[in-house]
Amino acid sequence: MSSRTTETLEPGGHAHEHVSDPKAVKDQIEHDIYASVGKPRPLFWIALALSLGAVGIGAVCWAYQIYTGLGVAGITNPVGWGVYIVDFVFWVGIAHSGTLISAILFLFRAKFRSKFNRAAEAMTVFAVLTAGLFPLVHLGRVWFFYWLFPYPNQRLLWINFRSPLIWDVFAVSTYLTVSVVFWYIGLVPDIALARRLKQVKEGKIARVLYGIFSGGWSGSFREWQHYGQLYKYMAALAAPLVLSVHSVVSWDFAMGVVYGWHTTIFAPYFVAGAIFSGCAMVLTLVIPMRKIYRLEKYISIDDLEKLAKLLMFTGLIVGYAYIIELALAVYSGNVYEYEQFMYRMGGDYAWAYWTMMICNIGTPLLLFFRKLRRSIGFLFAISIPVNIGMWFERFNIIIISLAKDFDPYAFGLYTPSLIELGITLGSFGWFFTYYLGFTKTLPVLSVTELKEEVEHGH
Amino acid sequence: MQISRTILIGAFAGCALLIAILEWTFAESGSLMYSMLFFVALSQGPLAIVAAADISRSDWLRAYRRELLSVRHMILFVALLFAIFAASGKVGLYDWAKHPNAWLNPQFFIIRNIALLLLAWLVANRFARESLNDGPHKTMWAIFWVITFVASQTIVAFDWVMSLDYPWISTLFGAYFFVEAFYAGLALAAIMTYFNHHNFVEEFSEKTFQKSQMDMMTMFFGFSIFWGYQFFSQYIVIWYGNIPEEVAYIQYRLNEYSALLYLVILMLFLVPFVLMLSRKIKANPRLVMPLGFWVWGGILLERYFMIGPHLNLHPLIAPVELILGAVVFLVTLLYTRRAALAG
Repeated sequence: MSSRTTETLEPGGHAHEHVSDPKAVKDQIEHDIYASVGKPRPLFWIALALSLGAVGIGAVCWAYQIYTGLGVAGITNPVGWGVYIVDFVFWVGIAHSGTLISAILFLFRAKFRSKFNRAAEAMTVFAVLTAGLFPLVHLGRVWFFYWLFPYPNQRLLWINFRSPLIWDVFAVSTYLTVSVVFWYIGLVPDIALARRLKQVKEGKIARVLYGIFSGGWSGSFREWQHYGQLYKYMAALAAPLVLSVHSVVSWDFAMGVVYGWHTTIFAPYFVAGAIFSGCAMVLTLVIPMRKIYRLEKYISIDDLEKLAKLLMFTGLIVGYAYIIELALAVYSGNVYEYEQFMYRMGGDYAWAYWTMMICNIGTPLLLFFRKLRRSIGFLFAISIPVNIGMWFERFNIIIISLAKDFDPYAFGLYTPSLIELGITLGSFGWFFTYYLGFTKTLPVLSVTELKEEVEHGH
Repeated sequence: MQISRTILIGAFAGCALLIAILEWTFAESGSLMYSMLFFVALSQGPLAIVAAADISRSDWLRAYRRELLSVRHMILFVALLFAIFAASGKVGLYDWAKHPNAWLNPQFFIIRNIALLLLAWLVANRFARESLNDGPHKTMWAIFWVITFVASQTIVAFDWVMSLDYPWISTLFGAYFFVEAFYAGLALAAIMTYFNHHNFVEEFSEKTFQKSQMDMMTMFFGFSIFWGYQFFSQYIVIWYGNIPEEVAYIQYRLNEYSALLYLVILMLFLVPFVLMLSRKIKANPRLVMPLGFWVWGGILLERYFMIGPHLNLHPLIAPVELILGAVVFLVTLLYTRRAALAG
């Protein structure tokens, strides 16, 4: 990197305006970001092997479950929704920060989004793909999965449109479609750029694919004008989805007359929780990526701090919801509601409840300290307990409420089986495999937006 | 128009005295709660907008800072109204007052509410000072204000309104109230866009102000959607669950006040949403001003929808008290404007 550009792109610096030659900076950006799309290093292969190994374990477990029957999972009466549904909600939640960072923060003109949007959007798509597996895993006869969709058939049977589970099918598939389209639109100019990279050699399949997916993008003024408009409209269309998807997921529970599930705050509380977990996952993924691909001068500590603040903010909303739920259970004097919360705090699954409380309420409070908020190691370290805490939040809601319903005769405990845990492990492998593939084939930061920032600096 | 501190104190004292006389004369009337519910949103929401902008270091607020912060003394007036409400024995109108428990008993109810309102006023004042002077602790006080605001609006929702239907509960009620207060604050911004247009343009350039106005009105538009979302989230869960003790709340209101309910949805969601899709409307101060009043009207009707079935709202006293409250609100707005200009 030339000395001229070093001073302009130092970590945390917003000093683009001092650059004498913006073209040099733009070239440098291209060079640095596309550097990751090169020959993989051994560390990459190790990570990929681990992820694929996990996928293998998950696949074997699922195959065994399909062959033997759902009895190999720990779910039984009264806990008919187990770890599979916990995983489903967890992954849908992870998928949330993508749309938030790309659409809402775009509309709010929050500049730091350009450092995370590509990674967050990719994460969104992969997390929805992972989440979408779990309703299938949960099916006894998975080969009939298409019964979930409304399609004309001889017996004139239709799905039950009044079931929140069907709303879920529509909400999640809409979300997947819009996320993919939005991600792809953002990628078009960057893919077009990738065509002329040195490492993508003439005649190679990669070059052909980049050519096809860039859709003949030439970068003319007219194309940029249309592109800008399209991106803005897509952001506006995608923004309500941030609210809708997880609200519908929350209604899978809230519509049911089960104590601990049936409560009005669920929709916004699930949305905030989803963004909370999504931000944590972005930190988990971006911090190592930043280090491995040497992107320190693009993703500064200031940017990470802003994400940490978002994490703290959504964490406080989640904390508010926990307190309100508990307080009103005591206030209302409803014995079932009250017993449910007492059971959560001191019953068979108290360990899961307190894990959630410590991870989701306790750890984000530490971010009030500026010093901790600006420590990259700490941010990475804190993102892990938040992910764990959010998984346990879903575990508590789903399992504990089902384990202790109205009738003492129907009380029962649930322990996840090894098959369920194996498939859960597989889902992490599945997600990380996709993500690793992404970092090696597409630019991990939006080159277009970084260049725009240089342009606006003048 | 210049308002001195004497006029402000005079307005506070005069209006409070008149309201006190009315309250003591009409012992059965719960009208004062109606005014308090309306002005508690108007006095706290605008400050929350400034706090949100200060915390996120956004520049979309620009021109509106002083105008939105100027309502802070209204919180003190609401505290005064609550004191009158308590002193005139109106807490007895709540059913639970006859069977008090640890949380819902008149003494604790009065103490916690007055304490919280006074705390809110103190924090608001401090935050406003920091924010106006761009002080070093601006962000810290903005955070304190947001916490106080959320706590205060939640207690208002649970204590003043939800406890009327005790033991009915809705966990969303607190959040519903603070979002609505924020929405009321944005409506104030819309109104000020028109009435203070001249000053705004004089102080900032026309271009800066137009940009700020567009951002603010986009936010206003966004909150119309967010209000609709919250309303639906609460309604659908109760309606679908259909649990007798829970659904009774909306069933009674749907039977007795259905027209009012549709009107509220029209006023707080449909009309602002459809109109503000247009960029031209958002950019025109003459058009956003009536929308601001329209949304305030919607909030006013909705609060009637909430407490009307329980508290006896006197057809004469309730409007009179609202007007007196509005006078104080206006004086507060003008007073702080004067103080800021002098400073």
